[in-house]
Amino acid sequence: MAFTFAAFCYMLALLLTAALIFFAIWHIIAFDELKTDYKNPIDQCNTLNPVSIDLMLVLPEYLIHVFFCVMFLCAAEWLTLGLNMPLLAYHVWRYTSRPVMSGPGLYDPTTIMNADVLAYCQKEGWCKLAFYLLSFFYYLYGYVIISTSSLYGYVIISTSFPSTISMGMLLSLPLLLSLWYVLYLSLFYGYVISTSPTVSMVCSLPLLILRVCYLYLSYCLYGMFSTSPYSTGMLSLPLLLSLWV
Amino acid sequence: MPNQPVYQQRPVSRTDSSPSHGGYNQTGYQHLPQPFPNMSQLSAALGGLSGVPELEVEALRPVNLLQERNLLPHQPLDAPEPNLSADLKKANCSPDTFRCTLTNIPQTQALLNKARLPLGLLLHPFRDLAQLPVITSNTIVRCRSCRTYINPFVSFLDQRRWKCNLCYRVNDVPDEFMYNPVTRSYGEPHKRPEVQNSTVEFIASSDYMLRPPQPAVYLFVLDVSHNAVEGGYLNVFCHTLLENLDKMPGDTRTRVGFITFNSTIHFYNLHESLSQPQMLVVSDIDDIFIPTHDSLLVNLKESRALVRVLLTSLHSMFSQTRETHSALGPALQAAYKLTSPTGGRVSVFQTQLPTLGPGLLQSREDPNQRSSTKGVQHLGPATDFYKKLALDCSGQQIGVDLFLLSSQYSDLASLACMSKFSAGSIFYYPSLHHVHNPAQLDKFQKDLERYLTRKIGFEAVMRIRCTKGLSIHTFHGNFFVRSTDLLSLANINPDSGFAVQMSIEESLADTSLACFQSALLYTSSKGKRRIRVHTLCLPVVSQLSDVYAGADVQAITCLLANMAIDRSISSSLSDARDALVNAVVDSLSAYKNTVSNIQQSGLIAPAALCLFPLYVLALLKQKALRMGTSTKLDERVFAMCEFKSQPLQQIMRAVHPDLYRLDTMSDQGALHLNDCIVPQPHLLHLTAEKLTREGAFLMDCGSVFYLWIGKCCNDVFIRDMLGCPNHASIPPSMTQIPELETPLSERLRALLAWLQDSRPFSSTLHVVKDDATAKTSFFQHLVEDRSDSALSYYEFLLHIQQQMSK
Repeated sequence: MAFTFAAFCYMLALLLTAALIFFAIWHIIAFDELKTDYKNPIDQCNTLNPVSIDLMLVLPEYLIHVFFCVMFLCAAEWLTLGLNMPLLAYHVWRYTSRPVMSGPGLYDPTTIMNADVLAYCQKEGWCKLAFYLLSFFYYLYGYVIISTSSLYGYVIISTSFPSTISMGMLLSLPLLLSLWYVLYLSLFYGYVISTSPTVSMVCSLPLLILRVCYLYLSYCLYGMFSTSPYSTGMLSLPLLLSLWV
Repeated sequence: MPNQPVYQQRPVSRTDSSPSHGGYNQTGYQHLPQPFPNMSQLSAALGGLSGVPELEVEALRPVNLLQERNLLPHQPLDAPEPNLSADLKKANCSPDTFRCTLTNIPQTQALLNKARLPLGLLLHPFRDLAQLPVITSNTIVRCRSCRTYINPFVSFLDQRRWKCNLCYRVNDVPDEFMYNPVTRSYGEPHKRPEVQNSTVEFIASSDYMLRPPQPAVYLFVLDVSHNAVEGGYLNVFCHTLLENLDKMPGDTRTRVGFITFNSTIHFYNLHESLSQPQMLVVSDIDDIFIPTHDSLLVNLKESRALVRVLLTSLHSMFSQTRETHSALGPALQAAYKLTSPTGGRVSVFQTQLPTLGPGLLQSREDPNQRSSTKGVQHLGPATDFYKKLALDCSGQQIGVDLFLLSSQYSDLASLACMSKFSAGSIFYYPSLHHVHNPAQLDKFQKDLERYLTRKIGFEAVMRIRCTKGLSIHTFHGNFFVRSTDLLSLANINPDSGFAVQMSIEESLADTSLACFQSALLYTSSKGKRRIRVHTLCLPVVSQLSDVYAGADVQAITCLLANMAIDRSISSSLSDARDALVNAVVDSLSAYKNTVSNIQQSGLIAPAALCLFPLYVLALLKQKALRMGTSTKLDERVFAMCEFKSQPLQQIMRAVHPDLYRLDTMSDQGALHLNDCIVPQPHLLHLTAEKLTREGAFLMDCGSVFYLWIGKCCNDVFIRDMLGCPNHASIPPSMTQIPELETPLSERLRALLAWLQDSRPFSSTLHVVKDDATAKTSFFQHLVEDRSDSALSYYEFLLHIQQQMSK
């Protein structure tokens, strides 16, 4: 089971994000041209709005984004979906608050030359480019983690139980070693204390928060709740550390 | 000698002698003291910037608004004069054409932000001028990098080189420019008319044409449904057009055409070979087509007889119609198809909501919400059909003018788009009827006359350039914005104004002057390509107090009104109203915290801004922006359109009408204009306090005059003025002043005629008796008084003070 559905999603998202980066660059160039007087706003809005079939920009971008959000939903990739939700919500808001238009589209040639609108559109382009670039690397990372962890995880499960996903962790270790270590220590003690029946609620609360953070982090790293994170973590980390050192 | 440049001073048809308009009195050419004023000499000539003149001190005098009640000057307010040297001041553009909200331009955006005042321009570029230097030369001298036209504010480095005042590039003076056609002398480039006048018109060469200049093309699209015929406009229209057929601007190539519509579209074949106009009916309104391609738009000269026949018979043709539907959208599509090969002007007359075909509209107004205080819905268009059509028209150089003559709700918010984006004008006559409202019909007829005979420019573009560092933020008016500084105007008419918001992108620290140049390139009705250039020059200041001293309160008010209307459409009306109040609060508190160091209680404003709160309060009580007072949606939208497209003088008269007392008026300070004495009564504050039962008052609201007669007004006065024996015998709806031989009547008529002279469209007059029901329309203009839903002036000041202390 090397190539899970989630891994497929990540791979697809990776490719589509590359396309979206291209769209964002196009968007930025288009508005820059408009500002520097190389283009007529009517032509400009006709290219940006999917009025003509050959040149589409706004709607395809939105549709592509919605598409891989749905894919992540199906793959139960909650965190990835969560990270994409703000942009999805923004797209919905942007499209619902568009000017009155009979066809599909977003940009109105009569208001686009307004300095505020123009500046907003340019800023929007840059922000989207940044977001897509970051998410590109995130998907790449997610893809690598998922495919390798499930691959090695499967092999390792059959051989030695406790370190189910230690190989995945091994891959991620160089990146997050220091943070991991601090968290591990606090969690280790947190685990000990919270299992002790004599501990008070006051003591356990900050540790509980730390544990949630740990869950979150491990979730980031593995991309799924395949195993109980801290049980394996607790057991395998010292082992791993010894391997690493 | 064909190569010799020809220079002529040509008087323009309409004479504009009104002093309140500022006039355009150019009495020959001014001479700069030095032959070549270079940059250092120019700045020396600007020495006034450091040694502050008295004007500036006066403009900064702190005024406690809560104590000083009489803020209005005796005569209508003039534009503040920029603080320039006498020579530059003389050469500067007239404030009626070109005005800036801050006559001292702040050096940086930071300084502008500190002052909390808007920076912008108010333009009236195609204004009728009494005198205009027209220049014909082979080469139009322009800067090679920024394409600025040469103007009085450039500096000549020597005989052969000049430095652009906008981008500072050094350019060569062409040989032709060395010859001065006015003095017929050689070697004096600085005495050329271009360098002596800030408003000039060039006859452009073929470099300025994309195609041969178009002929004047006029297409009339007329509603002939039952509603339209019953109201009686068609008759008036036909008569007025018949009378003015020869006065319409144009030449031998002028073409006219007619389309009428109800549930079908009717075309008229007016080919000269026919003996009778031939009517062609197209009933397929979903897919409109032009039945025959030639002879629907005919040469006026050749087919004049047929046009006359059509106009005389048009009314009787439809007098029995029972058709109530209106297919406006298809009619407009047909008009577009018909005029698109040439471009031109389409005049649409509509009397109801369009009910058929593409572009049909639904009634959106809820009469119960007219006086709502929560907010006003439906200020934006319901469909983009009219906007798209306008953009297509604009692309083909077709301007669409809309006359809406409807008493019912007709969704002007949607319909107005057809004119807004094709640089047209919008007229609205809410209760036009030949029996019920003859006064309005009369006004319609006079406006139509002006509309048909006024100057017109076709296929125009206007570019606004400004000194490096300044940039254009937003345009306001009727046009299509082609690029950051270029407006595309299918038609340009002498009655439309524009507003421009500016921002300062780079510091102006290394210059002492900022210049703005608007260049309007158009095809005249005679088929000539012309460029009208206006240049405005203003000093740059680094002190906040100087910025306040140069504030032009009227221009600021107009620009804010435009911004508020944009805001009320994009956001909401209450937002826009809040923003207006905040503009006052912010600017006054910024002034209090930074400039005035008087620790005085009360509301302090610099004298230059002392009318600002009053004008903003007046804005809040306008039909366009008021809340809580019953206002029909169409009337509100029309008022908004007026704000966006009217020149400054018109807007200010509507916002803050002039009130004069007539019974005590004397000849003191009167004007003597060709044997006629025009009295100059003092302006009064717009409050019922100033009215007395013994008096008679004249209120000038721009498009309408009110003559208010007090109950106890002197009988002799009434008899001398109105020809009625006493107050009781004045008829309830009197709309004219009888021509009596008494001195009083003569003076009054002279005053009215003089006031009338300064505006393009004729104003109606209403005589309002103290007890008449019509007095509500008079009293709603008394903006300083409390009304049931709005604050009085004093309450408003207290409100501002309260906001400031927060």
